[in-house]
Amino acid sequence: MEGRQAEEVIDEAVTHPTGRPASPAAAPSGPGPAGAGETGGTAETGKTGRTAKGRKAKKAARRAGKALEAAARPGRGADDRSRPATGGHGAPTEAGPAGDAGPDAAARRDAHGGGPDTAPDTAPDTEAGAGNAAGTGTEAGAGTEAGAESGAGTEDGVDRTSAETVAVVPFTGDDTGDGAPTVAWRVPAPMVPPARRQAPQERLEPSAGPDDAPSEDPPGAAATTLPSLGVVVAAGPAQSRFRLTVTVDALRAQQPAPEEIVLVVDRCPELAAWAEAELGGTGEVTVVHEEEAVGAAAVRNLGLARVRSDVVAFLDGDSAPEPGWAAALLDAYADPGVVAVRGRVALRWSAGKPDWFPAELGWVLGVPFTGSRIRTDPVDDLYGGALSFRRRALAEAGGFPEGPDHRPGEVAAEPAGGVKTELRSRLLDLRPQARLLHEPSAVVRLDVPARRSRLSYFLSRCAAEGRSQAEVARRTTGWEGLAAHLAPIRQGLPRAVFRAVTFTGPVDVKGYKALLVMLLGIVAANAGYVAGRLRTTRADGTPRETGQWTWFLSRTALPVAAVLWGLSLREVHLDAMTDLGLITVLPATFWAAVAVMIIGFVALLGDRRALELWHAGYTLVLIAVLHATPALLYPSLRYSWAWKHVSVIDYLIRHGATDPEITPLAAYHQWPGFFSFFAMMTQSAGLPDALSIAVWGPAVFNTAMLLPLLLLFRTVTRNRQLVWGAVWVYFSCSWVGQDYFSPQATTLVLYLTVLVVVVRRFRRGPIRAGEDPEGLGAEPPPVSGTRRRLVWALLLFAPIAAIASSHQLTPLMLVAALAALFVLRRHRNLGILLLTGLTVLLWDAVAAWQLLEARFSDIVESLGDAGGNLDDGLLSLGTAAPGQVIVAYADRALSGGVWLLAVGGAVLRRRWLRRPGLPLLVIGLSPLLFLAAGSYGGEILFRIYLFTLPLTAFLAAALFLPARRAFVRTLVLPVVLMLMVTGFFFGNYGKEQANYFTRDEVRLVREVHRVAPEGSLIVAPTFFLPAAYDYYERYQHSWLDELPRSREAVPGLPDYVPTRVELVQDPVPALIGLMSEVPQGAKAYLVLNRAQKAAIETAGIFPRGTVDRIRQGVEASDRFRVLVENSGGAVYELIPRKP
Amino acid sequence: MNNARWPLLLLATSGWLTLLVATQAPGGAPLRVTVTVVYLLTCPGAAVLALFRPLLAPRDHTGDAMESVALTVALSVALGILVGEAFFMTGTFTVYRALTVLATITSVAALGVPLTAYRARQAARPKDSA
Repeated sequence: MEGRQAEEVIDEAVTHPTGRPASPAAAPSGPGPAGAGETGGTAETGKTGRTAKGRKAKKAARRAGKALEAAARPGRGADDRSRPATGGHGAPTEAGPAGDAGPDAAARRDAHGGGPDTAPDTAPDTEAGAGNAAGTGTEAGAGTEAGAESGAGTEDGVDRTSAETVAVVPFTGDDTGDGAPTVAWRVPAPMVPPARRQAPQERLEPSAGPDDAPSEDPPGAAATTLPSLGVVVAAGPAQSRFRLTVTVDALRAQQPAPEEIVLVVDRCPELAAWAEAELGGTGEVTVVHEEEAVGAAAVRNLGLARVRSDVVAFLDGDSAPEPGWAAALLDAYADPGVVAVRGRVALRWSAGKPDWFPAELGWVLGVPFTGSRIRTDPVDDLYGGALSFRRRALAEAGGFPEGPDHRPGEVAAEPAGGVKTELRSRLLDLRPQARLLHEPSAVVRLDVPARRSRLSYFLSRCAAEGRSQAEVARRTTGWEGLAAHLAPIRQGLPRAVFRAVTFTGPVDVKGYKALLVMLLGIVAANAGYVAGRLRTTRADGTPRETGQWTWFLSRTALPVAAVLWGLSLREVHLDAMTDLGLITVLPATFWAAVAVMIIGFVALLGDRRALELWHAGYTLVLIAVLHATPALLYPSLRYSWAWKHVSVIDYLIRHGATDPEITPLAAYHQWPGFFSFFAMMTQSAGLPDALSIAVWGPAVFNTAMLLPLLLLFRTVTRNRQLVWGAVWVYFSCSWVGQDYFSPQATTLVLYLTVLVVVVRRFRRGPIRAGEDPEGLGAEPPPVSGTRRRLVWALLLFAPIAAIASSHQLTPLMLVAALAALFVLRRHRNLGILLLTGLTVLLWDAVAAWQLLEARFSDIVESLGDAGGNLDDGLLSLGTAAPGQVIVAYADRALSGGVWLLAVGGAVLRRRWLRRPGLPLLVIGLSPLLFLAAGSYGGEILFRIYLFTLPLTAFLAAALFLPARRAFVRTLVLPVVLMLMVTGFFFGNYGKEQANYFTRDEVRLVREVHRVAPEGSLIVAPTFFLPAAYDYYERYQHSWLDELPRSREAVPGLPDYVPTRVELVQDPVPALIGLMSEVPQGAKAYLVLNRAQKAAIETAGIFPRGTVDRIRQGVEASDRFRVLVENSGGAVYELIPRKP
Repeated sequence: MNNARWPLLLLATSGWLTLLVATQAPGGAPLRVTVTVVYLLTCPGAAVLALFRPLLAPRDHTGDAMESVALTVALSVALGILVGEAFFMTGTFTVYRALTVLATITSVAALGVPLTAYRARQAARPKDSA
């Protein structure tokens, strides 16, 4: 009976692990799960207010329930329970994202319901009662438990065969909540020897909560009766059998001897069989074999699940307790407030102590670095081997946290420091008054075998310790944990330097070696920590084991691709370019580089252990290949629009002021943010012009997109494959070419950054978890209070104002996105929406009103012209060159393909999209509002494509990733990614014949600017000429492709202005007419540079051969003379007619 | 937490150092280009973010470091844009003035951090004692 009672107590404590008094008032009237959710939502997890991923948790609970059912089945004896992998281990690792304590109650419920048929009706009652204090509920509890243990059917307390309860315990301490793993614990009833049965139970009960611990404790009983001790010994494949025997013998020789010894063998069936035969025969040692690679913490948890004593100590197979260990340990537990006691570890070097090992490094092997060496001492950390715990406290805390552990098989050792840091904070969260003791008289002798006395082991262990601290849920705690580890080394450094220099110190330590190793240890631990901090996404869906090929490909492809890319650039001959664009001159090695890069990246996605720096490296190389190629290849700045922006910056620098007049470039002066910033940068750097900055624009702006994009994707998923796959798809498909040196590129980065911060920092309320069958969702950001949101809004005002004053369209997109987020209750923030809206309105109404007023009628006209907008954006294919037709179709295929894949992804992940993916969905769809809003110079379709691309790229990637099937990853994905990059080169670089300029072309135009008097007219077929707008305030410009199509279209057109039709029919007279109308003293120049032919004929604006006809006509005419001529073309000056 | 003050002091002086380099080093010299570009892209934002940081939530959520980096750049560019266009739109731009204003913002923000940290502690105290 006492056993059952104790079990109830434990069960209760586990289900309500807060340690707070679980009053019925705290529990809402709902059935078990909800009530437990309230009372049991521990520490941080409760705060985020998740309402449980009910279904998943229930599934886990059901599994756990089945385990119980199996365990409780009459036919099964004690031996069967020695393999409880389903309950003890299988469920713990994958039981699913716990949210709160809801699942545990569900588990209990299912456990009860899943038990044999006796008394099923009492279960709900018990559930209701479960909210009450543990001690009072024994009657009902016993009734129900009788059902569970009916197989044993014993009433006299000999319940060791069946009285196990499965409780699902959420891992707490992780404030991020939703993604926290749940552990299903098989909590056995304590197997208490008759002599001790009474006393410990009495003590256990009151300490259920910290508040009522000591008062009801009969002091005499505590003083005279020791708790029972169970020992878990962990042994790995490299375990020496002799040492193991020594350990077990030493344990058996203890006074008092441990009640139980559980030997957990990690992945070594031979050792398990041997131990079963040699050690387990006597029945004192239970051997458990773990077949999967799970890590040191999980191995110990498996052992913990088998122990039923009051105190459980953990040793590894190489450590043997000294005589008196058990007694000293148990003495320390006399105080009921003590939850953990750490013994002293003495090292014994079986292979000889290396001469580089100073005492300061002992912590790496598990020697505690705090606590007195002489007397029992309360400590604040749990680091070190030879740990023991009050079993119930440890079970409440969920056992050893497995998250921050070493990776399986990485370092065969103690659980990592991060595990203990995390465990300590969990223990103290549950029982703030709990005490941790260091007991120097409980000595464990740790044998250091040869494999653990190598430098390589030492360094990898340091790195692993650092990494594990990085994975502690509370960042600051982890950092402090690492600092505490390194403190002894840091403090020992001066002494080590002194010893190294003076050749003093212990004889068995070489001073300089010790110093070097200490420095290396610090570096390795910090490097491990940084590496761990960089690994912030989850590798779900990635194979557990990394194949050799995967590893090899993913590590070698990046450098190989980079080198191939660099080499390929030397073979490019731009002159050979055809109307298909850049793609026609890129050599095979370039495509080989792209292919290698894609294969490597896809392989990398299948590597669970790769640092995310590799992913970032691949993405950066992709950006370089896509966007730095022209910067490296072209002799001058690409794209005439970028030249125009450089000219505006040049104007600002020359004048020190914006131009208030309404000129053709007035928009740039009404929204001067971008130009001001780069004018300031150019001048601060002392550069002659912004050209050398502008050249790197595309590469830099795309790189700057990387962080906001990553952050945006990670707010909706933590799946590593998906996040990086989506980033990759984004950059491969961002073909619309709005990333050149321009205001829109700058503001796009700011826009995304603002949105990311709003999603992450402006969360107001609870988020309904919704269904997430693939486990893609990310843990939601913490809820922010009003004051914090106000501060954030203040901070964001700068970027918002910068966006509003730099570009026309982006601020509207931002307002639309914030308005769309407003629809979601969790992100409903009127303040930031109003702030943005008012800022945009204010700028447009005050600073830019002049221009808006002038263009008002055009804007109103284009409103609601969705059909026209659709036509506007697409190239008219009438007389375009065949290459351009292909390019146009390639653009469309890529855009349409991405949208199709995105729709597929949306359908496939529709359940994820309904809840976790919502912020991305509304942000991504908000630009579609602009389909009806205006043509934006025929560009609105491209802009909408660009602004929706984060969503579409993500969904397109989600169609393939996370890839469960190997063939998707190895065959389909590389092909899709390759097609995307190819499509990108068609779309982004399909018009390169007109977009790149030779040095000679630049010289031509510069020569015009040098000689042309003020007020002169510069005429060219199109504005595809470099530096077209340099000194633009001094000149007039006329681009022939902007002439009206017919006189009917523009009423009141002056006679001297020809139409396009007239120009094509008879170019020379038309040009003379156009160019004659210049002010007194000014001249007129016709620029026919190399790019014009490509710009005007391949696009089909003028019929083929027009530029040649103009050139021939002008050269034949006596009204023109050649001003300058070179390989880049010629400039003709109109000779004024003599009066 | 890391309470070292020297990064803040460095930040506070960064603007003035940049001003010194921008006025003394020859135009287009690698040192001048590097210093000014790095300053304009990072320092003002870093200082302002540091100023606001104590008033914001602790950086315990995943991705907070990345967010800080992204925000640093975004805030720097935004401040540069706002300062730059204020001068250009009033027709009073010179490099000297613009950099002086930015350096002042940077210094004031960096040196104001202890103040906001103090405020944050003050605000947090009643909650602790309650």
